[in-house]
Amino acid sequence: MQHLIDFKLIFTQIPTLLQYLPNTLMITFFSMIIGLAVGLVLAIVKLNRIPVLSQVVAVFVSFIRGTPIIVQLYLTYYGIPIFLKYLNYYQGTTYSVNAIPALAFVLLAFSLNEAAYNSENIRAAILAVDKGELEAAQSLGMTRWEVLRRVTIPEAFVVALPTLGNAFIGLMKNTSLAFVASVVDLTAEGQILAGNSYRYFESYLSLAIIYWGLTIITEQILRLLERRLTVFERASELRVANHDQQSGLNRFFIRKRVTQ
Amino acid sequence: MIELKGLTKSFNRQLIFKDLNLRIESGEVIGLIGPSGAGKSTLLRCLNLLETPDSGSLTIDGLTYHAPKISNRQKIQFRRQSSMVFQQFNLFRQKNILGNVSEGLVTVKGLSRSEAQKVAVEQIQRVRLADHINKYPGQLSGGQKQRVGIARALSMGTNVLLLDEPTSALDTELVGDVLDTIKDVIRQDTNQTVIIISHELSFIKEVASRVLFFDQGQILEDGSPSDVFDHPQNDRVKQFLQRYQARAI
Ligand SMILES: Nc1ncnc2c1ncn2[C@@H]1O[C@H](COP(=O)(O)OP(=O)(O)OP(=O)(O)O)[C@@H](O)[C@H]1O
Ligand SMILES: [Mg+2]
Repeated sequence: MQHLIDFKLIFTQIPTLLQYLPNTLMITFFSMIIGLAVGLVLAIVKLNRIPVLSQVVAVFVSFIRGTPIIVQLYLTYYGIPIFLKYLNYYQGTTYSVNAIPALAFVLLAFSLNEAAYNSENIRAAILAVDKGELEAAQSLGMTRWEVLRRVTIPEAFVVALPTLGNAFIGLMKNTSLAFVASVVDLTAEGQILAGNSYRYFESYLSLAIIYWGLTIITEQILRLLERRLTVFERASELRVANHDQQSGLNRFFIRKRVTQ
Repeated sequence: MIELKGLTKSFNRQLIFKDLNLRIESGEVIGLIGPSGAGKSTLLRCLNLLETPDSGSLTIDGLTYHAPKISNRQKIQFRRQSSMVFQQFNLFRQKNILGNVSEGLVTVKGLSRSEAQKVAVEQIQRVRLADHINKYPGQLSGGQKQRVGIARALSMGTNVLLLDEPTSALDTELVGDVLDTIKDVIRQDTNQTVIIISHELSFIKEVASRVLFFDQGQILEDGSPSDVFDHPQNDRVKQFLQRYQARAI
């Protein structure tokens, strides 16, 4: 009964696996950023009830929420080549599927998925922004875009941050499905290592440790970000305390000070 | 100079005012009084285009707007001629006092951050809040919040200042403070046109150069404070004033 589990291997192969961490992080970050930007646009379309577009958005969101992410990945992976062939045929262009890196398929699928889910969160957060503050911004003479950039987005972001943070963590774990488009991320590399050593359990255990660690680190970063962004709230709680003797922690978070 | 010609406004078929005509000269301090629901706020908000009138025209300092059609650009241009102080303060809760007052200067007027802060600090001193410059709205009393609201409006340097019941959301003991600030502001800049809606009638009587009594979508009384308060002609105005006097005693 020796070596039923190779405990050492669980830890010694982690550095090898971590060589593929950048791929995992890259897919996560870019999909999240694109997902947020597109999600914001979708939310605005829905909030303004733009005819036709808002119906299209509703169908899109419903479709994404109603289908598994792995199916969406396969749909992009097999769908885009077919789409390109059609395009080439009808437009006389010569786009080649081979010129598109596999990573692009994965990014596209995850970005659209995030966009759909985030759009609902963003919409709810925008609706929570105080109307009075929006009027104040307008009355100062801000354009719609300036109001959005200076008031709506910063305020909605604070409201949406916990949900968006969870979405980010969920996305990070979901990127383990990137192998379906033959992109080598953490999980794909784990499968390759296991295939060579026949140590499947150890491999997946190493992966579990890495993902768990990533999640814990992300949670801590999100907590710090939230603290940083809600200075204004904690400042109010300190109102009763002596105004001029701010605690060390508070002084750390309040950066923009003007000395007179 | 502000001029309204045939201004009409309704909310989903509820007529608020119709065919309103009014001319206000630069430097006048207008006290706008009248019963609740008369449409005072709606009128003030039309001047700042927070509400869009149905028809008629609005002129502020040579810029005329014929309701209701207006491009976003023209709307903003027109709006930049007046600044607004709100009943509920409407401060930017995530920004500190300095940020609240310099926001319009940076975003709308395009000043550099340091220039904007210089102007903002001056305005904050004007409302006597220099000691609180780094605080957030949540750390201030209602009266202090409203003084920030006034500083924010003043920072834009417009010729027209609009105040919609600036003290009615305040605890009684804080009202005097804000009224004093407004008094100072009016005294310091005699060229500024001020329109103030308030139920603080003794205050209006003291600071206004002209009082308008607004009810049922019409200006029922228009004159100097002593004309309107001491010798009202209209019965509705008389009733309104009597009720207020009874309450004051
Ligand atoms: N956005 C709106 N939509 C529909 N009706 C409105 C809106 N704003 C105001 N009204 C209605 O218009 C009428 C006038 O309101 P307004 O707020 O201008 O009165 P007011 O004279 O300022 O009263 P108060 O002294 O209570 O502030 C009221 O009957 C009110 O219900
Ligand atoms: Mg009102």
